[in-house]
Amino acid sequence: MRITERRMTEIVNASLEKTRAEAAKKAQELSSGVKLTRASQDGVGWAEAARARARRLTADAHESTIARSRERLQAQEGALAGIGNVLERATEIAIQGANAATGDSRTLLADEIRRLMSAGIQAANTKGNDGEYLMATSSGTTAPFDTGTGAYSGSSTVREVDVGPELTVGAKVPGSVLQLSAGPPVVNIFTVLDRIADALEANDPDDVAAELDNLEQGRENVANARGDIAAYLAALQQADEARSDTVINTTQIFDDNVATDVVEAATGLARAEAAVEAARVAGQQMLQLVAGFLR
Amino acid sequence: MSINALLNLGGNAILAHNAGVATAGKNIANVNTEGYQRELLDLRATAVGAPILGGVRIVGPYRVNTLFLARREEDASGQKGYASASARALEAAERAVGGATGSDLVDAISELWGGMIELSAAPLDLSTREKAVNAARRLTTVFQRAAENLERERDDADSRLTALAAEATELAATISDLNHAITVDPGRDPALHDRRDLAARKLAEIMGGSARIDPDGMMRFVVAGGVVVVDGTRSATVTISAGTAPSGYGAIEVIDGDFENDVTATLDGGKMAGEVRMRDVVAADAASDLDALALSLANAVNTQHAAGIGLTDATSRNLFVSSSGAITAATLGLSSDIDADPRLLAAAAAGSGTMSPDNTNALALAALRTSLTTGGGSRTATDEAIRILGAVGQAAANAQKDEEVEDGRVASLAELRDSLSGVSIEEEMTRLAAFRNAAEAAATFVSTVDELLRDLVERL
Repeated sequence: MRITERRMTEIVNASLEKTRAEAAKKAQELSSGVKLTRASQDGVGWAEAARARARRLTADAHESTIARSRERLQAQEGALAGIGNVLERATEIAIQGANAATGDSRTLLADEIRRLMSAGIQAANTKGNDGEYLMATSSGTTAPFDTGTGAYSGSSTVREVDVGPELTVGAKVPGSVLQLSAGPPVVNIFTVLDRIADALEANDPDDVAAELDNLEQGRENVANARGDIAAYLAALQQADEARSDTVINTTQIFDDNVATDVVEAATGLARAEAAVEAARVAGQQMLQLVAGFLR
Repeated sequence: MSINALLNLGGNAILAHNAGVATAGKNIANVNTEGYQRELLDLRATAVGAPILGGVRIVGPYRVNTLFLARREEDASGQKGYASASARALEAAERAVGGATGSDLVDAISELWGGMIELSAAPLDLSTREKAVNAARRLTTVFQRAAENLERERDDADSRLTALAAEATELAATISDLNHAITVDPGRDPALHDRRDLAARKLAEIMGGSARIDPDGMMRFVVAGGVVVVDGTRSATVTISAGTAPSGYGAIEVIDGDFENDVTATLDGGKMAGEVRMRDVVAADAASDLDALALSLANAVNTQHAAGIGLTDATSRNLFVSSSGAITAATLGLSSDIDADPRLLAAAAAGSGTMSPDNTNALALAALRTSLTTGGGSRTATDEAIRILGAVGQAAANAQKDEEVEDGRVASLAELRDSLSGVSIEEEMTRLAAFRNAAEAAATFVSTVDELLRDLVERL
């Protein structure tokens, strides 16, 4: 085949253009750390990376949700522990008041029961760090338990949160866990403490004794609620571990599809630069060949 | 043989070899002229007077070319033009819909769901509500930007088509002018044929189609659908008729006198067809799909949002609205009330009362991320966004591959043409030297005959 000088020049130019473009591409990958930015570069890899990004963004939201829920449940656990202690002490006092104490002692015991009731109501009306009442279900800004009577305003709904793909976990125990009877009338542990205090003030050991089963029920409710919280925390822990796996998995997908392999890119750049130099030298020699003939 | 016959013999030889020198010189002069095909001169021996003596006559110069190769090159140019224009236009369209990261829309949808997930954990927290509202606002911005960018690319395609139409018209006129010049004086200048072939190749690169040389020597250029662009000494005008194509953009019209042909949908090669493909097919599908996604996503979110209650007021409030008419990607907007007051974001179930810590509606909104609300009920919003962006990307990738293939084909044919018709300086210099030496020898012959004549005259 005849190869004209024009053709030789075109070959040199095309070769230089191609090798320079490849070198520029490798340099761009190396400097940006990213080799895949568009679906046109690798449709399958891009789609996989896009789905991984979506899962990662969702996992980031779950991380925040899990942390916040864990904090809230732990605060609730603390409040219920305090209420449990109140009920333990109230039971001791009630047993004492139901037995050999005299009228004056029962008055003192009644005072202590009232203080315990107040402390219990305060614990039940604890707010979280975000200002939301921990056991409120109907209004986050109004205390769920009446500060005087301890009457509860709210539902029995456990608030759940989204912590994973099609996965929700309880994240807030309602104040109804302190309820002993739906009524009417509604009876909760503070109702019982109030009745015990009244009975002590009336020097009526039989009425005091009658509330002992309710106190035990109340302690059992609190223990059950704390058990539920422990289960929710365990579920949150599992969800968090699954989320971590998702993060690891999506990071791997990014590394495989999107991120530049530095060693590979550096090697590719070195090869491309060598190819540019080789094309340049070959071009020079070709052009010298032509010029030499003309001389 | 007479002395005069010998002198004529020598003179003819000098002329013939000087013509060879001129031909070689012309080839060298045009070594870098685009489209120039080298000329060759044939010398044929002739009988002059007595059988023992002969002369030389010139045959040519003639162009070294093949019509078959020329037609193949036009076809390849058309396909290359189509592939190149498609690739460039579709790359731009992909950037338009993909945004800065290439998947802006996918990320924005995921951030919306993320905002709802976090809202479910802290429905009373104002900063969490603001974050969710910001995510919703960003989604509307991403949709609007994608729609605007796509429309801008389609408008740009129209601008490029207008420039290409002007270029095509000029090339068609050039071909018809050259047709006239060639047929008026067929032997005038072989280079006119080269220019005509080059113009035909360039026209094919713009519009596809092909040329043919009729027995009358005229070139006729026809595009897909049998529409004639050049007919002998007559050429059509190629124009873009604004807004008259079914897509709402410019239609490509070939106008020849009273005849107007809309070739927008029929062109199957050339840059114009490549631009139309992006503008009226790929980008049009992407724009339509984006609109459908915006609408279905907004409807799904609004239906659920309206079923819930914010912190301060009643239900039946939409989160997404339209800035004008129906909801599309370009008109998708955020409720101005909610934008101004994130407390209106409906996280609680209806009937929960004001300032309720209930999160039932936020959970339901977050759960929409796995609902098959788009693609006729077969895909989630995220998957649909990936499909739309992936489709544009795939079209761009295919066009790039086609471009590589067509580049190779054009280069291969150009190499063949150059091998056959290109000027090799080495060859021409050699030929130049041969003709020059022969001309010098012929001059020496003439001198010798002249001396003979002088001798004769002196003796007489």
